[in-house]
Amino acid sequence: MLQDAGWASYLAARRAALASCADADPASIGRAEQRLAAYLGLAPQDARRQARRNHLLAADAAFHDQLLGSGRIDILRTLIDQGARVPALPRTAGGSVAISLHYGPATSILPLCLARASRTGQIAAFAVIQNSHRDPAVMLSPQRQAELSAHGFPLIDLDIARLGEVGALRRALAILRAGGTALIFVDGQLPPADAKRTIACRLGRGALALADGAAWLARSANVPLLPLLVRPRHDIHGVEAMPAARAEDAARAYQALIDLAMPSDPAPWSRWAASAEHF
Amino acid sequence: MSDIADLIDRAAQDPEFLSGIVPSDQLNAVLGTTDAREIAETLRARIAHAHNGKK
Repeated sequence: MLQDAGWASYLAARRAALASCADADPASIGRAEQRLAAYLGLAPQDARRQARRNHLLAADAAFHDQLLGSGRIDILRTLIDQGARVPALPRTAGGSVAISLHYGPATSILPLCLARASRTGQIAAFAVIQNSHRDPAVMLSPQRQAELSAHGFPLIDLDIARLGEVGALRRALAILRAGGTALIFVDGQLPPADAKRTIACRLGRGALALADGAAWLARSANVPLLPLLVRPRHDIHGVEAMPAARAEDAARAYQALIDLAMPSDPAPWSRWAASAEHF
Repeated sequence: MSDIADLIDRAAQDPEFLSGIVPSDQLNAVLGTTDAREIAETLRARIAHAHNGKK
């Protein structure tokens, strides 16, 4: 049973974080409710409940992101060692482009799990590609990266805003060609309506275009895409590796991720519906 | 005590469900901060970015 002091502190803090953010802005809930009704066809009462649930799930994700950014390292170790169920990652001759979505605590759990896998030798070097342009809080400080690395979570943060898109992709390519893993959240930057190279996916009653970057990277490095899911169960997070896909099958891999992630946390639907200019 | 997944589901149906949980020093200690108001604002800013999009 998960009953040690670190785990108890983690759960108590998680509950407190949820409570501190529970009184959502009614206007925000109302917008989410409208989007969920419009795009997913939910009945008004269910849309209301899901909108509130989305807010709480976003609060839970915010707590975990902050925990990654500044929290106690021993709690992070407990979170991954006891509170995440990490699968055996497929061994590939070269590297792989791990892909996932901004949902639940994926943006904190997955980097930590992959960093841990890198430290234990399950995978080679690990990098996560993000963009701090709209939200500087997504990036870890160099001091924090060093602290994490020293305590068993070595990761390379590739910030598109700092390195430029070409610079970040070039560094990711070098890591992949050396057998490493690069993690990309494929809904991180929704492409503009007139973008030419996009991955077409279904989103509820409509369509959603996602950026081609992860597929381009896999194609260029000649490595597979590895879709990763985070499934919350009770108090823990099960991490699941879906079958690896070739870059040419990116649309199918992205869609499978969307279809399996959304029942756990429909919050991204709301954000995508608000952010995608073409939607 | 209910698990987190159950707690979220129940709080989604009853906005008052979490009112009995008082944010404590433990939250700050776990997150490595000392200012309770600051951490609440930080979390809310993260939620706003994740939840609302740009519109």
